[in-house]
Amino acid sequence: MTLLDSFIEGVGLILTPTTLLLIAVGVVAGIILGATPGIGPVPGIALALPLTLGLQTWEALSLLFAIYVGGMYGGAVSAILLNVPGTAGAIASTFDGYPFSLRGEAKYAIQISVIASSVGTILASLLLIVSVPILVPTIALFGTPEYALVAIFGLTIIPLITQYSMGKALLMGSFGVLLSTIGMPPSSATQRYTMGIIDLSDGLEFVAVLLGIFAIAEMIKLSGYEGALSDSQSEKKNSEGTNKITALSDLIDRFVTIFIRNPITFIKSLLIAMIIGFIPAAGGAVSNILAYGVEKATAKKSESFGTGDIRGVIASESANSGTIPSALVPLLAFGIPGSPTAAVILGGMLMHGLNPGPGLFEDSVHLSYATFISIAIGGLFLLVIGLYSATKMASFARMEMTTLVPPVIILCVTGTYALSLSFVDVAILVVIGFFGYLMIKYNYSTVAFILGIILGPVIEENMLRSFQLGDVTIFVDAPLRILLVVLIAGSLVVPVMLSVYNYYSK
Amino acid sequence: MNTEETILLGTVAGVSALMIITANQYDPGIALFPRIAASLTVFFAIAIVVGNRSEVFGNSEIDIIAQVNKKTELDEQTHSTDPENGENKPKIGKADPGEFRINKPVTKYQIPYTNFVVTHRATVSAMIVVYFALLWLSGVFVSSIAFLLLYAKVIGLRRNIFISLLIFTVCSLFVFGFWLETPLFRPGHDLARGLGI
Repeated sequence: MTLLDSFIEGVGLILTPTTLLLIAVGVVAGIILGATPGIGPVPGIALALPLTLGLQTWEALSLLFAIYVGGMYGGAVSAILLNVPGTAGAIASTFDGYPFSLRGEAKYAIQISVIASSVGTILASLLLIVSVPILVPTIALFGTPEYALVAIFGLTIIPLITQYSMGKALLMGSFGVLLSTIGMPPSSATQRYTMGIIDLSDGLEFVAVLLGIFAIAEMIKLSGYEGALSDSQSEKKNSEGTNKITALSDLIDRFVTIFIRNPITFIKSLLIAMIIGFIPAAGGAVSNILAYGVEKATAKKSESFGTGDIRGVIASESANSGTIPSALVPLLAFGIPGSPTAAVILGGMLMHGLNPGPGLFEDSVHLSYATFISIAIGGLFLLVIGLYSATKMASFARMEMTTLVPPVIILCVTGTYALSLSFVDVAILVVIGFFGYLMIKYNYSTVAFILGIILGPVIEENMLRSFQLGDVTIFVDAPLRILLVVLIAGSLVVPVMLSVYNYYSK
Repeated sequence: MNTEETILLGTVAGVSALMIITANQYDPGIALFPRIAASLTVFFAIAIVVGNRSEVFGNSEIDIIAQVNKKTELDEQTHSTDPENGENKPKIGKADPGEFRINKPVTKYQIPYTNFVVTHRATVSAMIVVYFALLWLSGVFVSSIAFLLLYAKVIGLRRNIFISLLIFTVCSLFVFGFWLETPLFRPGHDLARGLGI
């Protein structure tokens, strides 16, 4: 099958009325979830997972991708209007977005963010579609030892790219790997650490773990707060004049602002986003801050940043949305998620019988095309829905925490039970929820923990296979393997050196 | 180190130690990988405890966000006073250990007939445990409604919000029941088997 045939097959998977309708629904749901601080796309997609059980594979995955697309933009709505980023990917949008609101120009900033987000998503997806002919042979270079090393690198890189301390991130990564050994090992039919519980024979139910870490733990955290996360003073001010109908000439002006007056800002941020997306677990949370920082450092008249400079909004929003398709590349290629949201999407893929990895990427290229096409269509819908809804979604950011907590907990428990009608899975959900709450509270990396659970079996299986091919030197007997070993060593050594340097330079 | 953090680290290290010990009952081939993972986990747990004392590694701030955007700028911006009405903006800056980024008052709940005051987090955690027990006893439907009622009573939900949430919950349960064919009334025990539910 040629790549063109694969592309056509991928298009065929997505261009069905049901799938298109689900993409539209997903974008709307994503915007609402993203605009609600405390929810965001990660818990939102985790909550949607059990509901997709009744859908066909590509209907379900398209819905999840669309929630991701909508959620990434939705975070900017509350960031601009209320100074509360709905998602970690929208933190930098508060820096210059909120000052627009204080000046009574919230709608302008939100429209810019919609256009930057949607066009960023579409362009990044199209670039990846074009890059598939390069990606396929590149990924074919990765054999079993390389695959094991990439998975290890996925865990060791976390302290470098997130705000967690090295020890805490590695602790949670290795603990996740350890818990992933529960159940049947890759090379044997023996039950490991199941304590005779049949429901554990396939290991810990991944969706229960995801819901526990990303939804139950978050709800326990948020249940402590009084009222809504937004402040009333800003919403009063910003609600004025935001619901007026926008003229076509205004919309044209927004496009001109981004693509004619600030094209370099947009392209630079998009490229940063795509590179960050390839790094395991980084995602929009890193790319939006990094793109904003780079833009601020390299822009002319940078002193206006932080006071309502539109370049700040463009940089942040195009960067967080640009990571959406690129974060799925390592997931499709190696089974290693490029962002926490991609980790939850992996749960959806596994639920629907897709096991991402080199085999899937090389043998079923049409699935990669279908993924990027689905995201691009999601970006297109976002443009229409986002411009129409512009500021209406802000009301979700004003939702009181006490209203939010019970339905999410009920959906988590019911959804987990619905997966396999197992009370053990619900118990896992509850225990991991409490455990996750403590992890969040004391800044232990939840992402590292989830990655550990995902990558544990990948590392074990490929390590065992590698040792069947040769001794330990097999990991350093080819240039690519040496490069990966150096990257792993670097990712472990650099944070330690930085720590020691910071300690002694105090 | 805080008591809760000690519990977290103790649980992680304890589970790992237990898994190292019980790995003996498996073939060396399949026991090796969990042993390595467990040993690394124990090693990192010890490193964190020792690091916290020596203040070198335990609290290291390897923060790419801080490198590209100085924390002081963020704090100045988020803590600045609104010139129009003099009120403070919400805090979004980096959290202190054990605290979250949200600068909102933490709500508390007094246990009836006692003088004990607990946070809402502890209350909700206890309610989740009760929810799970009810789930096992009476199935998804009854336990979910009971959880919502308990939550509304303890937290003090307004009437209109409670009714909206009740409608949402019942609709969601029907979606699971009718569309995904989830048994809504099946308990986790066998006591009601003779009743045919």
